[in-house]
Amino acid sequence: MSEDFLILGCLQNDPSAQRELYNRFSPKMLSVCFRFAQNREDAEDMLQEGFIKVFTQIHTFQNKGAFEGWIRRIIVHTCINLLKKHKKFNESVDLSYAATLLVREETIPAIMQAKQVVECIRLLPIGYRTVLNLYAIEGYSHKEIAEMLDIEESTSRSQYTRAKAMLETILIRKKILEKPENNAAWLAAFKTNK
Amino acid sequence: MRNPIYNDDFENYLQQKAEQHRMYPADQVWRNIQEQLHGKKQWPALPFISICIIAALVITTLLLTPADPMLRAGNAEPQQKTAVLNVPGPLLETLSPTLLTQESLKRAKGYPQATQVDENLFASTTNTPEQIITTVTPSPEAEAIAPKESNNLLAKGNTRIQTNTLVTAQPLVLQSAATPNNNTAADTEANTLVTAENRKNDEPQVNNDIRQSTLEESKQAELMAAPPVVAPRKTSRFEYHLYVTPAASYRRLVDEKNKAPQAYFASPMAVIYNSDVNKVVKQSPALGLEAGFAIGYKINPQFTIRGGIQYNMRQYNIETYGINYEPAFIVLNGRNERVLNTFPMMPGIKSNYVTTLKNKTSEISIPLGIDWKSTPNRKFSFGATASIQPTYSLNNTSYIITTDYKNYADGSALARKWNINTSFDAYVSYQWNDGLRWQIGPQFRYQQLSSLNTGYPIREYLLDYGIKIGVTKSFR
Repeated sequence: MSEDFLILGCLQNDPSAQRELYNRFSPKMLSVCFRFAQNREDAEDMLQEGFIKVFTQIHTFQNKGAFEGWIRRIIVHTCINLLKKHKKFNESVDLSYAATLLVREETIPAIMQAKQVVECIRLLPIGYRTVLNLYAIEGYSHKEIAEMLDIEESTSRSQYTRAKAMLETILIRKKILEKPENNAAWLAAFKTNK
Repeated sequence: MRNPIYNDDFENYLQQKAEQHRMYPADQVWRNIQEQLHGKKQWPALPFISICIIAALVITTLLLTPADPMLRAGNAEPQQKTAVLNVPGPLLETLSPTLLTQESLKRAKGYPQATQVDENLFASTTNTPEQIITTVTPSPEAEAIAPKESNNLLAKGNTRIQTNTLVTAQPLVLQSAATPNNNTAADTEANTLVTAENRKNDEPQVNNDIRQSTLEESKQAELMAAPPVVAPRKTSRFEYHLYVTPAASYRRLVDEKNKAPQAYFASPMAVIYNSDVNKVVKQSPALGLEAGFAIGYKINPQFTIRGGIQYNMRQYNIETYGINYEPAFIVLNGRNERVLNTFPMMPGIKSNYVTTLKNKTSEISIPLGIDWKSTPNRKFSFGATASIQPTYSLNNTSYIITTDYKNYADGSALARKWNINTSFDAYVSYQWNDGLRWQIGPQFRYQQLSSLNTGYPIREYLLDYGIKIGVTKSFR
């Protein structure tokens, strides 16, 4: 079923079209939620809330961009809203925290590198993780992140810098990435893993 | 969103890995989403109705199948056609059924071809004296002497003798000892027999002829005097009921637009109509039909519970003007704020000519109800019936008015499939001689849930006024 028919079916509140849409996008969206959430249960709660918003607000989609991008934005905003209810994003963690992280081998299954990377991201403190997810992966600017999380733009920048350094340390320790020899090491590492 | 051109390698790397990652949610997540969007899973009415129909058919089949004739012969007929002699214990103890049988056969040998005794019957009987059943079938030559032989058998007591085929000209029936009218005859006869037996022990071979003639006379007189008694046939508690109801369909509209998303009404383009929707809509009833079949069970003569299957065709007309296609919208209620974009079939505003839209619904339902009769045993009777009817809509042609009351749009997609109706009727009935009870009277049927989904802000409740004609007959 094409995307247009799916949207039309969802506009008519057709359960089969809704199910098809859910089946098509839920694996990717759950991955998004999982990067923000503390655990899988929280991620599924976020996914559920997000898809309910997708189905109820689908009439606001105006075909001006990719439908998947529209769904993704709703999911991300839902995740942020749920996190904001419980967490603060101003927390600052010292970079030395990364060295003390007890990253056990069994906590990161070596099924595939993508999963390892996501698991490494989830090891970050929630403030770092959220900013990193929003900036590096979802592509929001620091200004937008500051508005979304109700923090200063400078805080977002500093959180991201620290998060990036921490994640780098974790990835190297896990031997997912090679230790950079110089400033251009990321490029070599990225090309190696591509 | 920032421009991806400013991404560095690390960010590109993370994005690439995150894009490759997939996770699959549990099924419960989708069930929760579906429940929030469409409500809880509906009551499984279809399987329930199917089970009810199958059960009704099975019961009907069982009721209409005649019972085993062997079972009927063993239970009902002996009560009408046999006489049981209650003989005191000491006499029973002195008499052996084997001796009785042998003696009877000896006597029968004295009258060649006089009687034919069913030996299988003897073989199958037990040794209990009360349970011995002797069947005596007279031959034409033995007609004259059979009563005497019969009395001899009676004189031995504790036997159950079929007398309906004896030499009497008319069919004779000896009622069981429990029947008061015939009990006297049986008691008299038994007393006489007991007395005769006692005397026989004390005075053998004395007055034998006198005793026999006395017994014969009294027996003959009793048999001739006793009218045939037939037990009344018991009628079944089950009955079937067929009915048809021509009816006029109306509808009641309730505006619940205040529950609709306020964002729509707050927009600059929104036109708020606060007038009563019943005054805006021009509608007229049309002729509908109801036909059904039900099986009833009489709790007592006055009250009967009924269940069956019923078909309804409901329709009404809506008066509107002209044809003009333009975008229209229907704002739906509830937490799921939705706007259905559709096109009006018929604008409601005045135009050059009038046209009529016909909303038509075909339904099938399972009426479950109770029936009351004022005087069930009389020819004329008054009564009333009330029922609740789970209903499934087979097809629905429905034009609904748009939120701004300006247009009509095809609302078939919003029609509710399952609904509940209630019905009440009063009637006068007449019992014909053939067991059929005909009835006629007014009926009122009302739809409990709106014809359209809960999201549509205007509730539509259909109601029918009709004349119900029905016939009821008990199963035999």
